[in-house]
Amino acid sequence: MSVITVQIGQCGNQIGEKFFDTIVSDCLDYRPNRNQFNLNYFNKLNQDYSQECMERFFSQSETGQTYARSVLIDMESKVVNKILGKNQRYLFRAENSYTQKKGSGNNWSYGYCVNAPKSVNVIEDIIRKESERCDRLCSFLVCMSMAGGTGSGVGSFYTEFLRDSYPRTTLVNTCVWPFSTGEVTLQNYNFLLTLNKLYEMSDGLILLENDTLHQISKRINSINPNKEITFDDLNMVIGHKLASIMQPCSNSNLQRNYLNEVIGELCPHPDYKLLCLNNVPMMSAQSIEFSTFKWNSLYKNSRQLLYTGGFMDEGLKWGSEKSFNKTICLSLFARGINDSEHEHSDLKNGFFDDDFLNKHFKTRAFGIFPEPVKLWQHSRPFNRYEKSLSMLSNSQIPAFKIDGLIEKAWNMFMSKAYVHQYVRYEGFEEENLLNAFSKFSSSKPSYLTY
Amino acid sequence: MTQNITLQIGQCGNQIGCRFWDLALREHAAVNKKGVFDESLSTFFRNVDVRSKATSYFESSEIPVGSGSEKIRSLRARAVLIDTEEGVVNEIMKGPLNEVFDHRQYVTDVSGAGNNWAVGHMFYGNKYKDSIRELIRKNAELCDSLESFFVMHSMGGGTGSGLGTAVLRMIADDYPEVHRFVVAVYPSADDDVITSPYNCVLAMKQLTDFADCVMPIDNHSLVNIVNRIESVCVKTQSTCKNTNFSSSLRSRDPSKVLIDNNSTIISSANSSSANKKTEKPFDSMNNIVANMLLNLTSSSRFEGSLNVDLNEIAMNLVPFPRMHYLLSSLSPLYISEKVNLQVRGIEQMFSDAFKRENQLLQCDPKSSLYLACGLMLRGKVQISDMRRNIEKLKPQLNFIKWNQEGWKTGLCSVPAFGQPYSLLCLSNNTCIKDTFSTIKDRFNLLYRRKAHLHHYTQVEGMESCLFTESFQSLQNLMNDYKNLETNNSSNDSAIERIKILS
Repeated sequence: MSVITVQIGQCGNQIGEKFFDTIVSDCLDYRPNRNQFNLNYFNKLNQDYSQECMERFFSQSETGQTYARSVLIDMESKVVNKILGKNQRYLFRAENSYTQKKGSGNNWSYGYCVNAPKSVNVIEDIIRKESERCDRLCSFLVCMSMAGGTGSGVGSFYTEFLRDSYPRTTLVNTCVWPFSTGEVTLQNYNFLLTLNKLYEMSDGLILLENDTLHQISKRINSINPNKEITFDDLNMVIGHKLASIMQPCSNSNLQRNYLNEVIGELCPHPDYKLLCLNNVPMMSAQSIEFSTFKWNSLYKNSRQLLYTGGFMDEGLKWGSEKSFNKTICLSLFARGINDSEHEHSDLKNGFFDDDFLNKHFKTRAFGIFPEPVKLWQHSRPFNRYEKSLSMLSNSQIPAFKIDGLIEKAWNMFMSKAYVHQYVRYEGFEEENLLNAFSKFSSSKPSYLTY
Repeated sequence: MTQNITLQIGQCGNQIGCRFWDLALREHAAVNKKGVFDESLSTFFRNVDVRSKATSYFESSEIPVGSGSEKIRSLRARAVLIDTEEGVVNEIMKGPLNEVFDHRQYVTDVSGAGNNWAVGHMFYGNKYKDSIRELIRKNAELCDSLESFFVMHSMGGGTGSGLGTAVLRMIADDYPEVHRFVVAVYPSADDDVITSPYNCVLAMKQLTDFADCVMPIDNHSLVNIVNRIESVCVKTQSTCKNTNFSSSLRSRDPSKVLIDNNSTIISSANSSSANKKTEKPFDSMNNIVANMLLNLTSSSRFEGSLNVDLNEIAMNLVPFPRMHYLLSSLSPLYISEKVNLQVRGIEQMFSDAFKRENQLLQCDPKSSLYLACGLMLRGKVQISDMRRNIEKLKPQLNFIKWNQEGWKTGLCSVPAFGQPYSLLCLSNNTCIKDTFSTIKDRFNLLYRRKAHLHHYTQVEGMESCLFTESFQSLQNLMNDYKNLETNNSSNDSAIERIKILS
C-alpha cells in the first residue's frame, strides 16, 4: 500500500527531501550486529522490511532507477530546482514537479485564491499519473508549513482538492509551525486560515514546531559546541520523526492500509484531529554507540512526556501533576529487538494506571475503545537506534498553543492590520477571516474543557 | 525567477543607478565563475548577441535564459535612464558602463527642470509621457515575468521629484500588478536647494498614493557613515597600500576589464596606471545605497534556506496601505574593498544594525514604536544565530501591541562581495514621522510667505490647491503614525473574541 508525499512550498519541499533521505538511509545503511545470535533471521527481517518500505515510498523505472513517490509543488523555482539537481541513491521525478515564478508573498489569500487555481489542471494530472504508478494507493502525506504563503494557502487548497478527488484515500498533513519569537509577521493570520481549512478536510494533522525542533537539534549536536544549528538539522529531525511512524511494522503488511488504521484509531471524532509526535531517545550519533537502552525506561520517558507536554527526554519534569494533559488516544511505535517475550505487551498494558485512565482518558467517556494504548512494533531497529519508541498522541497540548496564537491573530485583526493585503485578492473578504475566528471560538471548548 | 527593471530619474537617481549597476556586475562576477547566463543574472540583465543582423534593436538579438547554461555574450541592464539634461547620462555613456546600457535605453532633454517640481511633473511629464511609456513597455516585454520596478530619485530637485513621480504614477496605472519600490533621497537640513521643501512635500503625496514601498535615505546620514568609515580606515592605510599594488600587478591583463580596489571598473585598454582613481565625489555614498538594493534582492536572486521574495517584503512590512515607509540600515558598513568597517562578529553585526549611526536616514528607531521589522541575512550565518540575536534584541525594542513578534526573517547563502556575512534591516517604525515633521516645518516657513510660489503656479497644469492637498496628505500620514503610538500606550482592554452562543 503506497503513500504519495505531496510537498508544498519551501518548507514542505525541504522536509520532504529529508524524509526520503532518512528512509533510504534507514533501509540501505543498516548493518546488523555481527555478534547477533541467529544472523539469518535478522537479515531476512531486514530484507522484508526494506522491500515493504521501497514499495511503499518508491517506484522503480525500467532502467532500475529508484524514484520517490512524491509530487513537488512550489510557487517559485529555486528550492525545487535545487532538490531535482541532487544526484543520490534515489531521484525525484522531474515531471512530478511544478513551479511558478513569483511566489506567494507570505499571503494565504494570494496562495489560495490566485496561485493555486492557476495550477490545478497541471497538478491534477501529475497526481493522477503518480497514483496510477502505485499498485494500491493508501494515503497522501502532505508536507507544508503554516506560516508562509505557498505552504499555507496552496497547501490548504490542495488538501481540499485531494479530499474531493480521492475521498477514500487517507489524508494526513504534516504542518510545521514557525518560531514563536517571530519568523513571518503574517504567521498568525496564515495559521488561523490554514487550520480552519485543514480541520474540515484532513484526516489527521501532525503539528511540528520549529522551537522544539531547534531544541532537539541542539541536543543532538551538543557533542560539537561550535556548530551552529541550520535548517538542515531541523529538517533531519523532522525526517527522523516522520519516518519513525511511517516505516513498516510487523502488524502491517503490503495488503493492509496501515496509515488509515493508525489515523483512524487516533482521531475517532471529527473535532479532535491534532496530533503530537514525540520520539525517545533523540541523541547524537556518537552518543548512541556508548548508550544502552532498555524498553522499560523508554516507556517511562514517553509517559512522562505525555503527562508534562514535553518534547524531549532531557530535562523532563518528574513528579509534576499528572492531571495537566488530558489524552484522547495514543499510539506507540516500538522499533528494536525485544529483550524478552512478552515485554512489549506487558509494558503497554501497564502504561497507564487505572486512576489516570479514569480521570484523564477521554476515550472511556466515548465508550468506544477498550484499549487506551495501541502498539505497533517491529523488531528491526530504526535509523541507527538499537531501540526507539515513537509516540503519536491525540491530546490537549497543541490546543493550548493554538489558543494563544489565535488570540494574537485576533488582536491584529482588531487593529485591522494587514487586512488590506488579504482582501485585495478576488475571492477573499474580511468575512472569511471573521468566519475562521468564529469557528475556533466554538470548537475551542471541545479540546480544552472536557 | 522574476525580473526587475530599474528606473533612474534625475541626476541623483542616475548616479545611484550607475553605482548600483557597477556593484551588481561585480557581485555576479564573483558568484558566476563560469560565465554562464543563469537565472539569477536574468533578474537584472539581458543577454544580447551584438553580432546578430537584426534590424530592429529590440528583437531577435535577445538570448533567453533557457536551461541556464548559455554563455554570456553581452549583458544589457534592464534599466531606463531618464533625465532632463544631458550631462549625467552622457557621462555614464562615455564611462565604463556604456556597454551595459544600450543607446536606446534613455530619454534626455536639454534644459533641465530648474529645481521645480511643477516643471518636472507637469511640463516634462506631458512632453515625454509617450516616449517614456514606450521605453518602459519595451523593456517590460523583454521580461518573462516582471516582479517589480525600482525607482531611484531625489526628492529635493526638480527632475527627480517631479518627473520621477509622474513616471511612478504612470507605471501604477499601466502595470498595477507589478510592485513599485522607491529609493528616495530626502533633502537634509543643510540642503543647497531652496525650494526643496516644496518639491519634497509635493512628491510625498505621489509616493504615499502610488508607491508600494518607499525606502527614504538622506545625504546627511550617508556623509556621516562615510566619514566614520574613512576615519577608521586612515589608521589602516599603510597596510592597505601594499595590497593595493600587488593586486593591481596581478590584474594587469590588457584584454580584461580591471576592477581596482575602489570597486570602480576601469578599462585597461588605454590606461597604463592601474591605480588611477576614477572615483567621483558622491560615489562612496551611493555605494551604500547600491549595497542596500543588492542585499534587498539577494534572497530572490540566490538560493538560501529561508527565501524572501520582494513581494513578501511589501506584504509583511506594510500593515496599512499608506504607511509604507521603511527605514533601512546595513551592517557591516561597506563602501569598497579597501574602505570598510571590519565587523567583530555576528552579535556585533546585529546590534550595529539597530544603532542610530547605521541608519540610512536621520532617525532613532530604538526610541520609537516598531510596526514590523525585516532582517535579511546573507552569507555564512545560520538560523540559530538569527534566533539567538532576535531574542537578545527583543527586550530593547518596542513593538506595537498587536505585532509583538513582528519579525520577517530571510537567509540567503550567497554572501555579498568581500563580506563573509551581512545584514540588511528594514523597519517600519513610527520615528519616521519626525523626519516628516522637519520637512513639514520647512515647507511652512516658505509657504506662509508664499515665497517662490509663482515659479510653480505659472507652469501650465499646476494648480495652487495641489499645495494644500499635498500638505494635508503629509499631515494625515503623520497623524496616522501618531495615532498608532497613542493607541499603543493606552490601556484599553482588548476587545473580547467573538463567541458563538450555543
